[in-house]
Amino acid sequence: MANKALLVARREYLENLRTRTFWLSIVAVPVFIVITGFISFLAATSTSARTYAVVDRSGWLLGEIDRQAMADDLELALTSAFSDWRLGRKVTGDAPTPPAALAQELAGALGVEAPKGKIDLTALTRRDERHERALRSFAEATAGLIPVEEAAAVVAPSSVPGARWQEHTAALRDWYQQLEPKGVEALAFAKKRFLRVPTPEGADPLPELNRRVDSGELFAYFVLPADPLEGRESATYASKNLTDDDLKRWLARLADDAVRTKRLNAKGIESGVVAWANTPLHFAGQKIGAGGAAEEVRSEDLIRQWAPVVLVYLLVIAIFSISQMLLTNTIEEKASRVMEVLLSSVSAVELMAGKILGIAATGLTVVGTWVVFLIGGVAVLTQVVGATLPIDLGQVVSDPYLLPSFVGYFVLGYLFYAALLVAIGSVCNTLKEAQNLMLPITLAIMVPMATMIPVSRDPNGTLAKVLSYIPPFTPFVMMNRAAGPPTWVEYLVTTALLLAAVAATLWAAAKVFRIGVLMTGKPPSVIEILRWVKAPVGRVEAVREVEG
Amino acid sequence: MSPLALHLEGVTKRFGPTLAVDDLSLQVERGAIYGFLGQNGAGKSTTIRMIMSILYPDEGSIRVLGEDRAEAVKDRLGYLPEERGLYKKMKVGTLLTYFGELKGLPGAEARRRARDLLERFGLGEWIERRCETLSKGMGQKVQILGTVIHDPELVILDEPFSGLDPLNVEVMRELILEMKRDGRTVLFSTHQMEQAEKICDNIILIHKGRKLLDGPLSKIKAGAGHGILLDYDGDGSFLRTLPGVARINDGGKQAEIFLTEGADPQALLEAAVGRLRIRRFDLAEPSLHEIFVRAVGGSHHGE
Repeated sequence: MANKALLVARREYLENLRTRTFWLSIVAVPVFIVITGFISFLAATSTSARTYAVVDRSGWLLGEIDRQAMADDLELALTSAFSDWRLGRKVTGDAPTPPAALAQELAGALGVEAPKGKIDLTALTRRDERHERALRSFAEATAGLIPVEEAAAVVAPSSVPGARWQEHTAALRDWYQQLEPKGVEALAFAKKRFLRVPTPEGADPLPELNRRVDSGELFAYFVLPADPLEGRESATYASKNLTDDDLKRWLARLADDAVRTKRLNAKGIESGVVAWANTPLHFAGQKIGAGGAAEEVRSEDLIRQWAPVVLVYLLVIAIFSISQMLLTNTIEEKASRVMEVLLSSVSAVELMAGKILGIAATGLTVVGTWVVFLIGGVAVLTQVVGATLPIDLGQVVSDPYLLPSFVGYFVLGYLFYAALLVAIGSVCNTLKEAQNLMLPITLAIMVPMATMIPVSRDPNGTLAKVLSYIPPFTPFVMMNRAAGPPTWVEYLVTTALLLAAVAATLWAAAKVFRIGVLMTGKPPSVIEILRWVKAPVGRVEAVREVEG
Repeated sequence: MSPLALHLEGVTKRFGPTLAVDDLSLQVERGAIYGFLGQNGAGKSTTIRMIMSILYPDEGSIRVLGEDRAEAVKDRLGYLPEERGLYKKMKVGTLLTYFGELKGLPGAEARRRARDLLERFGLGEWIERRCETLSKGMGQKVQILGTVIHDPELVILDEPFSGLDPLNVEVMRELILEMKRDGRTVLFSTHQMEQAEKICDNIILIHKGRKLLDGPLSKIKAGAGHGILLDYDGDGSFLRTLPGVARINDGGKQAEIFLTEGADPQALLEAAVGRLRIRRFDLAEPSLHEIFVRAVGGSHHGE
């Protein structure tokens, strides 16, 4: 008996392997990934710089803004060079670039060891206030906002002589000033994003600027007031495009900082003090683990927080695309009128079981290929390009709350929805007819999608708990709650409910399938289908029989 | 081995308010061709589906090849349903092999038999081609081969001739006779009396779910009295008005005429000779069509 179901499954699998759709779906996802990657790469490299002009009536504010912008860019460059060094990335080229050289010197002065062996990624992502302040201070010193000695004092006590810091900052300043906007592709420098063009000569440059903005030569221009410290007169931002306000917000923030510092300076407060006063208070996340012990947020926690969301998404896609294949396949098979021939050799239950198994095997082959592509792609990236993975794949695979429960919920969820869809497919003659009956199922799948984010925020909240006990949602919601995680009692009860629901749907589907596959004409109503399910086997047959 | 291939007793089947099969009993002996006759909607397909345990009877019992449960003998039956098709994208050879495997043949054996059958019936070169490339007649042939690949003892064909052109009807008839020569029992349903007449040993005639006639065709015909078979050219519409003519099945070129008790065939011939060009005038057993019409008409009177 089981043997015949396996024969049906084998045929489904082998025949599906020969279809164009199968190969298209295998290739689709990797192609999609490559294309999106390529497009975002294009978008990142091709965004043209916003050109702008500034009419500075104060005579000093623009210079301060430039210095602030330079400090921001340099902080970015230093931070990136610093973490590269900590990750043990090779510096390309013979001589290190000035940011790399300064970062390395700083790391030495701050007592940060070069990596040996396995890199602890969470330690890297953890904020270190002292490192950040040092990097920021040197960026500011290089930009001329504070004296180099002051920056050096932040990393003190240091064995590095002051002259060395002077050399480094001078080299860095030269490097930055000679940097062409095109040469900074890898970094999100303001220098690259926003390009300042000279203000036209003349007593009143505004008409000319208006003309240029109008013609599109210029994206926007600013007018800085004569006495920004006074604060009576507002600055102006003029552009044709007021929705894209990146440029405005960027320059306004820099101007703000400059004006605030200047005002405090005017009251006799030193720049260093101002910087210190402006330092925000950082809140570090902490997790209370078992036994009430406060723990630092570890990478496992981060993964368990976010991996479920990705896995739920995959679960939804996998279950629905595969059971959709089953629906289409059943309808096509009905159309080919081969059903009754088969039913003379196998029972309806064997046929249904065979189809569910065969399509599952087909679908798993597709999904499995995607996973292999992904892991292979990641491996290639890490090996060849030297990129580091933000998460530990090994943990995703071995954590019982992640991949193992994904597999379990995939099997149960697929069986549940496959039973429903194969029953629907059996009573319909065209995909269009199936649409109506599909509606409740489409609505059902919206629920776990819509609650995905709320549930992952509060994995043990009321919403999450209630949804877990509703079998159609159980696989998705329980997967989503892995970050909680739910108690073993919840796992036990919800799984028992789900198993019962799977058994019930398969049983009901078998009854509907028996009658449905031999039916032609208008599909039955839901009420009619329920009547079939309630009646004992063999007592109810399709009323609209062909011929007698 | 049970002497009966099929034994139905008091089989009744309802679809909602409709009585599809009403207290049907019949016996089919081994090694003969049975025609299962009736109009569209008479209950033929429903009966056949019950025999194949695709549907279940509401009342009554069905014994197939001596077994109570037809599921147990599925592998010894060959079935060609009225609604029949092939997997379009599958290769002919692979599909036949699959049908054989579903009937319990080991893979290698099924493959071997599929190849043999296709070669024997002139489809050897199609073995590697997809089913969608077959013509309709060839498709029917492949379907029939699928029903006999596992060497079934009983073959049940539901409307095997429907939708076939004369050439393919001929091919189908050859295949059915071939099955009989191979020692199989064949039960086929049809509403085309001429087809049944040519190859059946026995007939079972049902109407509105009830059995009207059952027995060897020769016996049934012998018991039905003789009629006159008249082949003619010309306008024969006056024939039915002639005195002594009880019934006439007039085909326009050929008429089957039954006379009232005591009427003289000679008088009929004389009346016809003057007005028609007679090609044949013969005393003959009634056609199956006539038997069918009489039986159905009789059942109408009975109601």
